[in-house]
Amino acid sequence: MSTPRDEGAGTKEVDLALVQEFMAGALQKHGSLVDEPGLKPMTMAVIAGNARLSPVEQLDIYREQFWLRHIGSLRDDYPSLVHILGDERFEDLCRAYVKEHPPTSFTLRDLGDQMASFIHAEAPWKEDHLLFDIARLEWAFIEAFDAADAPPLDASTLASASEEAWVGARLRLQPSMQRLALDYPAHELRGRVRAGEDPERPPAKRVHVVIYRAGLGHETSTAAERATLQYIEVDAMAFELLEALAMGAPLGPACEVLALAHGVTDSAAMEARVGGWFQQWAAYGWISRVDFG
Amino acid sequence: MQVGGFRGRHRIPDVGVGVGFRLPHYPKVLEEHPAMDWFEVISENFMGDGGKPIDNLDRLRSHYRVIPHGVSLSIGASPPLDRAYLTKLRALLRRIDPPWFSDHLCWTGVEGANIHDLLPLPHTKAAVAHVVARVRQVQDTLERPFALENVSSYLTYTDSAMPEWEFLSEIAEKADCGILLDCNNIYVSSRNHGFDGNDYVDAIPAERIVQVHLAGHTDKGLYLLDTHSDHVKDEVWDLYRRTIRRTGPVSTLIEWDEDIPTWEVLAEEARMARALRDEVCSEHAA
Repeated sequence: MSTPRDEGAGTKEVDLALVQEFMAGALQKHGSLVDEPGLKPMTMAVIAGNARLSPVEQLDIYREQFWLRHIGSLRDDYPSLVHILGDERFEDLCRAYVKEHPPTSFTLRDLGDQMASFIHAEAPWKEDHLLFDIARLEWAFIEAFDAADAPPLDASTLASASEEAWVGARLRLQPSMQRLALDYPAHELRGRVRAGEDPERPPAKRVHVVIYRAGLGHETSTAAERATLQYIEVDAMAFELLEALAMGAPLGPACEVLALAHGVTDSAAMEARVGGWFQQWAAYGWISRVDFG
Repeated sequence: MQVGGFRGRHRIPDVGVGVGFRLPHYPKVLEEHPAMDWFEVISENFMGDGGKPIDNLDRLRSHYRVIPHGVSLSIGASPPLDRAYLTKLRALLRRIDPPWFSDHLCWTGVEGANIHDLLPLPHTKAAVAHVVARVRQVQDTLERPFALENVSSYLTYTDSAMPEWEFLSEIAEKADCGILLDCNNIYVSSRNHGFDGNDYVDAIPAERIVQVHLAGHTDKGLYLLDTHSDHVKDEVWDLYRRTIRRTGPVSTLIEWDEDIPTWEVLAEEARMARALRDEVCSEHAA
């Protein structure tokens, strides 16, 4: 990791890699560098300072910006966590999170990708399951926002499929579609926070939520409707079937497992139910393709 | 006025005066298509797999010229260049097909930690050699004209052996790349470090300047902070005037990223830049 040196320059140069490692470490410190006497000798050796600001104070400008930028980015990504925790407790969470998961991606978009698992594992946040559900939900919206696009379903490919073909059919869902089983209606909370309301903490309620991107790829979409994020609650059986299909299970066996799990013995009723779901999912644009055989 | 050199060889066009493509203006720009010469987009915001960002970019491109400007290349960092980043950037450049692309003369992180800031480099011969080799790598990989932008800085290094304008010029000459000259960054750094911004502008090889940035900053008392949160200050307009006298008409961009004003206020700032540019160029022609 050593830096090329111009031996002819005749000046004593500090190794660039060493300088950058030192500065990157200092900039992630929580408190002012002025209160970190251990950093002073290296800072004085590397940074010049001026008549108004000491070397440590100059470096501290960048440290302050580091935290403003990263906490600000997480604040944008997790507005409902901010709402429930309040500014101070949210900032505490962010500082602990960034310490455990320092930013490594070239884009701040990825900064919060471990927030849900961090909340799930770390005290005191792990004691409150609502925080975990909110973090999962808000991250799912980010994933849905810029996931890859798949072409919408071409209904003409379905017309000639036989009943047997449908049994073995595998449904390809839109990559942007996110599915969450939540113990709290975090989606309702998020909707109210985004509307500028001041919602109370919701009581626990098991819900199944699908987040999806509407309008993209549909020629009839108006500009305002294109690629907008939507969410909808689905019932538990529909959710389980979607999960099985997303994992690549063929339609027939997936439905059989579902019927067994829920004690459904009337196969005609089950078929009608699944047919209804399929039409609804296709209308929402969740299905990209159906592979037969 | 020099018109040959880097700009001539690469047929870098003057695309006029543009503004950054920022979220509060998306509805206005994408639905109403107000007059504007061109838009700059932050590369990293459009390097995802698809969805709304790419849809917005394609809609913008269908009505305007778009040029990408990066913040995460980290050309001065010690670890090797991020190949995955370059691959995504190449895909974006293929989508947009711009006449040039740009990033900053800085480092943004080390192995295992991205600081997401534009950190200055020591102005040393070793740093020149390090950056030149990496700019060549970038240009060889992406096969398009590349421009380096001077950054605002709040610190200087003990082992810096040359002024910033010499550092930037030497890198640009040796790597044979373009320069994105940020007049606000020159002013901010000149105030923070006590040099004359005019010396900076006069020393930059004018034929390598492919684009100029203009922006506002914030006075923090003991230093100026590059916030892009206000109108362009008079001192920065003066540096712009001085730059245009040397370059002739060169593509210019108004940056406004915090406390973003209405579209009308931003468009008026661009109009002022256009008027000043025209005035200087007509003086020169006369």
